[in-house]
Amino acid sequence: MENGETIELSRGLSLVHLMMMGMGMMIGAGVFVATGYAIGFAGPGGILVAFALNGLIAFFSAMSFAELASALPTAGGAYTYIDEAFKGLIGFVSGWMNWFALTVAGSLYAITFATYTVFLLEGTGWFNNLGIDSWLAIKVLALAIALVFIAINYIGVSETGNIENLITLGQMGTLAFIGLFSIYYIFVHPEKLAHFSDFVPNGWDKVLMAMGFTYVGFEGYEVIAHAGEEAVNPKETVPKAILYSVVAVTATYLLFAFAAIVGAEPGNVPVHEWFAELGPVGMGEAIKDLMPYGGLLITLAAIFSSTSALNATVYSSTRVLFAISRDGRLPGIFSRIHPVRRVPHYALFASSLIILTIAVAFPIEDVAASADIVFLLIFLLVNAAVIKIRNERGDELDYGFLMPYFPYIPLLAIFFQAILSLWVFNVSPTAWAITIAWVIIGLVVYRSYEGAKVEPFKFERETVFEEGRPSKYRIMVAVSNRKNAGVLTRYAETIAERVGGELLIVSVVTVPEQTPLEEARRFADEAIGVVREAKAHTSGKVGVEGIIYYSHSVYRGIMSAVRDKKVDLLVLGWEGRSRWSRYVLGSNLDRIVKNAPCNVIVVKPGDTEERGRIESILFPTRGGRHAKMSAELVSLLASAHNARVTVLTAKSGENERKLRERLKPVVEKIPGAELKVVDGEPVSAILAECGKHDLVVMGATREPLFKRLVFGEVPEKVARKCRRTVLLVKINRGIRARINRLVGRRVE
Amino acid sequence: MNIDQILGATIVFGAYGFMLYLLHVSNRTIAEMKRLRVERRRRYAKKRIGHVLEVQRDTRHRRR
Repeated sequence: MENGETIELSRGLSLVHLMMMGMGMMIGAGVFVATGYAIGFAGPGGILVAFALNGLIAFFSAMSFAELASALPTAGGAYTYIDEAFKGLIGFVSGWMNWFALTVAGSLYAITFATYTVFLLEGTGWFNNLGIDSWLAIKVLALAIALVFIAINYIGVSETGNIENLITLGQMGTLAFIGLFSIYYIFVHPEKLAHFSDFVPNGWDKVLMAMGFTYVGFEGYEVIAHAGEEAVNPKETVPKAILYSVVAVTATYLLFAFAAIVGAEPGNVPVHEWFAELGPVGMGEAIKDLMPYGGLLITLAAIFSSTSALNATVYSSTRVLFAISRDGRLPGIFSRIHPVRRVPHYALFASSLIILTIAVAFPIEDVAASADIVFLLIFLLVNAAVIKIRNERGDELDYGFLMPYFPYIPLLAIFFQAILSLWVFNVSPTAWAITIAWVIIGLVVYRSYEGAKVEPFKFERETVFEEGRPSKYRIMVAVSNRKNAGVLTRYAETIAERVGGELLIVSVVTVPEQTPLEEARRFADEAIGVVREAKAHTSGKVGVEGIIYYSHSVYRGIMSAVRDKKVDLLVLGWEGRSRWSRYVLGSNLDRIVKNAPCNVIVVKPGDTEERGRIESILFPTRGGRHAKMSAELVSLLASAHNARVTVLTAKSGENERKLRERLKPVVEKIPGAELKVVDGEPVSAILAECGKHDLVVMGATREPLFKRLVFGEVPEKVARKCRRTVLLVKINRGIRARINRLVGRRVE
Repeated sequence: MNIDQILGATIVFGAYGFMLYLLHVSNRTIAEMKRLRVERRRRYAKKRIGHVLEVQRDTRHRRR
């Protein structure tokens, strides 16, 4: 915010832009160097298997990214998701590591560009005549190319996207051309397929090595998630772009590796040994043999790839730093947006400084390996985050994509990425030392900047008042209008007083999806009034907290409050009718009662409420899981109001003696209760009796499968027709509820 | 073809085929969720228009 004017990131990236960014980042310089080496130890068949399996593992993680990016389309990508799931220190450290990995990768790509360019120039006479040392030329060129892309990123997002498109088209076009040419080539020279005769010469375990060695070529699609805030229609385009990129890049790699293997001219030496001898230039030599001008083509492709990846890493590292700063964990200067350019310019300068410093000063190989470790660990955490977020907040989030076969796919990705990150540890212990050192610096920064952290959920909730001591048992009353606020609060307070709990009075202010949540604050006056009115009905005997939640839907707001405040009992009001015939109580009430991870009481205020006294309570029941718990509630209310209790049951053809025997444990829970057994159909029997009482309490009954019921047929019919106050009780303590709480809830 | 080649080809085509299958399922999910989103937006717009018309009717009625 500057001069009272809100400045946001511009939305200029389409599906094609996003795909080009993702593919450009994935087909970085790594694949040109790593593939040759990998063929050397895994063999011609081993590299194809390694690419296919790496592609699949990358696709598993890509699905996690796609799901999270569709639900949380904010700048920051992996960092935002991990922070959303784990909060606090883990969130900060993941962002800090992610920023490091991206900046270091940027340095690596700058150096790679310079190396290939110098390699190309060394073939020309004029460059050799200059007499410049290759090492110096590489460093100067790396600095120059890094500065060019920093300047391009400073110009703005759309401009970045256009440059990116051109570069990625160039590199994809080159690789695809080489791959397709190899297919034509194999028809002309079928004898070249003999290169695959020794498919995995060093055994299948080397394939795993090749997977670890080339996995770096399959990371980079997360850059698409970073661009979530700048994407057009992000809920659809971001997941699609992520998934398409991985599929396209895997096919490209497979074709490229195939082309190199059939193109190679190893003579009498086995093909894998030929690649092992040539090392990083193996791919270049093989493509040179495959087609005329192949050497030039592959060098140009490598230059295209490194520049494309460099551009994407400058972009992503800037956005990650921006997001960390925006969350108040680093100085606010890094989240300032340039009013004209609309880019976070200070974050861009900070990232650039690290890219330039590392490119000039540090041994790039070890730092690059540590970036690999960090990427793998971050991806692993993202897969854990997708499970945690869907289980805990799935109901509240508005997903654009939900991955199939959840949670098996993210679990598989976690397993494989853990193995690969350990493998990188075996390759370079120094890389692990660098990673740990960077984490320690991060911890120091985190501690020193702790005081300046902004409060979480700044725009999602607001405390109106907070009185009394917090207690272990929390009862939440959701109030929406002044008419029933008092009734609901009175019942909730009575229970809280008896069980020694505290009371939370909550109201939800909603705005449509198109309106940012922070704007909901403007419409909060009425809700604050209702919460204060509800508070006025309390006696002051229990601790009371009044909170306003801002949400895009009542359902999500209440569910968010229930989870956020770890509520044990939720008290809701019902007018006695549903606006839509397809819902039992109402669109929100139905879903809340079904999915709330706590006990729920729905109160339908009746004509006896004005008296404010409860002298007689009717408790219709036929036993069951909810009946015993409901009996405890009845006993509690009866003792609070000194009321009589009648336990009513209809025979419905059952033997009376057996029925009394079955209901004995229920009746015993209510001291002084009278058990009344009547003939006839339950609903009419209860309705005939309820007029004689002030309050009717009914527990939920077992729900028949495939029937649209919330509390059960009898309680719902009675609640609809009875003119007295009715309390519908649903207990959520059974094993099914526990499993539900543990393994996840229905997402709509 | 030897056993390694058969196994290798099966893994390569199997892995890529499975990836394509997952992409197909994912695309279907994205399309379905988009449809639900559009439907929800339409319902909301309809409700808003209904509300505005109701307010207009009331205002006209009061003026008369």
